Amino acid sequence: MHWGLLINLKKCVGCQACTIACQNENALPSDLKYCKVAKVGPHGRYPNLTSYNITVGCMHCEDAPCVDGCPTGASHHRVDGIVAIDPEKCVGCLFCMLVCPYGVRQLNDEKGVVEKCTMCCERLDEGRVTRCVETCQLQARLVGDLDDPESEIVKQIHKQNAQPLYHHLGTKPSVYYIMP
Amino acid sequence: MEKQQEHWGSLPAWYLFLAAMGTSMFIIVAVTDMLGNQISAQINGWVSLVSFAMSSVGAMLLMLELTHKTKGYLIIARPFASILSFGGVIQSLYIPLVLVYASFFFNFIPWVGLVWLKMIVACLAILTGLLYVSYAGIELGEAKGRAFWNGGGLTCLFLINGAATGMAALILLMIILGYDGQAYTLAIKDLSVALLIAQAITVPGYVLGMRLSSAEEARQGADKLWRGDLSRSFWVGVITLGTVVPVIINLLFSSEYSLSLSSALILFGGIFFRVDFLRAAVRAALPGEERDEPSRKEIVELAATLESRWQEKARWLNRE
Repeated sequence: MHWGLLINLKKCVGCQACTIACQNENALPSDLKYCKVAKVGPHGRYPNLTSYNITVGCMHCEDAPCVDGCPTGASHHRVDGIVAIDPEKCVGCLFCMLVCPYGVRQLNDEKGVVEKCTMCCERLDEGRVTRCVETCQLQARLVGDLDDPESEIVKQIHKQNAQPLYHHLGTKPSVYYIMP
Repeated sequence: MEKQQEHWGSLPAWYLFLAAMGTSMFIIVAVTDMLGNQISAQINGWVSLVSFAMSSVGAMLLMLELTHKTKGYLIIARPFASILSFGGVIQSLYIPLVLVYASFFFNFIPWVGLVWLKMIVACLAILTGLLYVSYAGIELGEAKGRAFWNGGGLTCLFLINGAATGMAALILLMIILGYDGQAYTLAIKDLSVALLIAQAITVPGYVLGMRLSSAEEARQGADKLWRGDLSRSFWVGVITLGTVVPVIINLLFSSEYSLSLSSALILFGGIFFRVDFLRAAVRAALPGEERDEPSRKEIVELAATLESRWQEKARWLNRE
């Protein structure tokens, strides 16, 4: 079992519903976002312009620099591949924020610990999908088992030639993107 | 605009500077002692105490950076789990070893005559000290997304600068202790000139190499130093005042004042070197990240500007 996420940027309209739903699910302060939406472009020359929206959260890398770099073991891999943070062990050295190539880790000033997307592991443990997947009205997001070749996510990844962001860094992310 | 790139504050830079300076200073005098130089009996106790103080202050600065300071012990609870915890363990071994080594040079200590024990402690302290000054470059190299730190030469640069600042601090201490005219002090001065010449070549060379790198983020980091927002502190602080001017002073003069001045400048450049190199490394920007979002402070400032503009207009409209 290895949980992964597939995000279809052809469908994403940048409504930020996933961001808000994630903030609600995790009771986050308004300035803390586990799932950020950014607008890319427009690129090109008129009239051939391209613009799309991209959502970026923790990539739950298999070879995660944050896990390797965490001195206390607060950042760790669960058996299902999700990169989790134990707030009891986090001392706030911020080294994980420094080594994360995606810059998705944020310091929660109130708690004094680093936080990020948990891939709604409690919901997944209960057999439900992640809150962002549940919320996305355009079904631009899909969660599933990357180890199961028969799972919908694996089929879609192969069919749509989905790729992770910056795979050349060698961190083996578990989040794939269907590029527009 | 809000910067979406995270970086450590200046406290870790000070920590790296103090740790490298104090440890290098200690390694020089401990090696001198092992080689049998007579001056060691007079200076090593005090130099080791200063090295102990530098490393301890550095470690405390690092602790200050933690948001949960009381849980700082967790860093060394898993000694080889990460490079950071390895550094923490090495630091925890080095600091007491230096203190124990210093104790062999004060006559009121009962074990002062046990030379064999002093040599064992010196060997252990030198070994941990070398690991202590080396691990910082490896630690920064862990950041895969920050290619500016991924160059293999970074550890060498840190070692060269650490040794140069250690020698500068040692010269200052020798002057304070009244040994400025000694052949040993002058030998350290000559060695520091050689190191500074190496630094004058390797530091800009590393930055230039990164400017020519294929990785975009490495080029961005190097550009920050070469001609960007850190260029003034890099060219003036690190290269000119911290490297070239001390070389010229040390080559032309050898008085107590010139030695003090050049040593102070080397230390000054050493601080800038650590701060600049920590701040220069930028992460690979994500798609869309180039769109900077206004920070809360900027929104407040914008709102205040708009409000004052409205007030101006209101006054103009109601002037009759």
